[in-house]
Amino acid sequence: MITLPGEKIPVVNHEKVKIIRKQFVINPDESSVIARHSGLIIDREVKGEHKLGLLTRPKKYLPEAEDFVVGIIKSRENEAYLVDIGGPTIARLGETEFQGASKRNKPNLEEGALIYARVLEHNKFERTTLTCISTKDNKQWTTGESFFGELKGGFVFPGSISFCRDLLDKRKTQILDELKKHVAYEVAVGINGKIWVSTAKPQNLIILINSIKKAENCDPESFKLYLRGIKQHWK
Amino acid sequence: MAQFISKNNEEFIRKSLDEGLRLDGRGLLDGRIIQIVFGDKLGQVEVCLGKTRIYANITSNLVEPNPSRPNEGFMKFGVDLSVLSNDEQALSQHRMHRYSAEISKVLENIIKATKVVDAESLVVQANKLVWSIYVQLSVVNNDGNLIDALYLAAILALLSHKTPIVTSEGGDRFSVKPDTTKYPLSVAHIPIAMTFAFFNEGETIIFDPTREEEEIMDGRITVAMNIYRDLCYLQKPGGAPLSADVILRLFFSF
Repeated sequence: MITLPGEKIPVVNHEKVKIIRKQFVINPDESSVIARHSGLIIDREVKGEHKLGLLTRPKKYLPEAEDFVVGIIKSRENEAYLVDIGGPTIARLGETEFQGASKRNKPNLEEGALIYARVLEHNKFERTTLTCISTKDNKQWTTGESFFGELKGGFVFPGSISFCRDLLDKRKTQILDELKKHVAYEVAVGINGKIWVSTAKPQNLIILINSIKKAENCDPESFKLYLRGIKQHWK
Repeated sequence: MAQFISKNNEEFIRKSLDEGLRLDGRGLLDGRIIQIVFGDKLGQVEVCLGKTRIYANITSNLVEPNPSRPNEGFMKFGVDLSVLSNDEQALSQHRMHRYSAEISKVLENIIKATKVVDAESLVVQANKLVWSIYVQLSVVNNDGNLIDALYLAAILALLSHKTPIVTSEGGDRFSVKPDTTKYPLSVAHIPIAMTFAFFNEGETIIFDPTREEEEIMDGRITVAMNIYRDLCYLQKPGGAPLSADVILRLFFSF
């Protein structure tokens, strides 16, 4: 069944149905969920769990809280940076929103710098706010080992949002694992459709960028064969 | 929202160019694969230069000549760059008009000024009837190097377009018989446009830049040459200064 955004899909008991937060909105009053994108509805029972999914290829990024994004610093406001994350509005990152940062001890980011950040809040009326403070680890921003923060060097390129979501999925790490066997690299995937990669030698980085772009359109088996075919080009 | 290139990308592209590497694995002076598809009607052609895609269409009409130039036909170029104003490329309306006017001027200068199709060959009868050729070009996707792609589409469309014979029936009356043989336009020579982007004051020159390379280049230079090695056209629109020996080195590398 094909659905358009905003359409209500009737569900018998929506507390027992598993949905992906980004694809549907639970309608608490009625027994239905509302689709957020246009696409094909997949309704199936897996091991007793009722799963509802939407087969869609969204191109436009809509920010939500707790999204991990790659952003470009566009300019500086008083006490904040304005960051372009490809969403409907520009996002705001406070100057001291870094792990262990204070007014005297904070990073100085230039225009055009890349950051990996977490979306704090987003609603229609205000600007999206970002933070580079992680809830899990406690590495200071000065060490360069913190999870979020400035991305130095490397190259950022766009990928479709469904591809980025798959790359961030812990159960689907085949593509990144395959690449690990050939070259040592660092990657930051933003669910806003931007992928950042970095590796030591420029020739390897070029091959890495082209391989990831290719992986978007092929399944893991063919990707393995592709990597085997280009093995001799890695330096 | 306008996307602009991050500093990391710019530094990486520049560093790779210093080592002779380009993002898509090409050599510095290699061009992209060109795909040409001719349309159903004569004078329709689609050109793909890598991912840059152009559609060309020619319409020809019979009109009265300009009284101050009774021995010349007309040739006009219309360049549609409206795809550049979508979210990702975000060129403002004003800049888009200026860019499309600049490209039309380049095409006119190469094709009309060097008499690729001589305006006099478009005359049916002097003072009375001439052909007016309108070359319509639309950009479907921009992945860099619009000028070369648009020029190639225009020249291929002109080479494939055919017009019927117009016979005079005395006085001011002319007739065109449908279903008669059509003849191509008389094309004197075929210049080919080549665009180069340069960095580091001309130390690094690349051929056929992609959109990412165009966004960070120091300047650009377009050259048109034909098979007889005549220099038909040279354009350097602004950008960083280039010394004369860099330009001469470019010519001798062909």
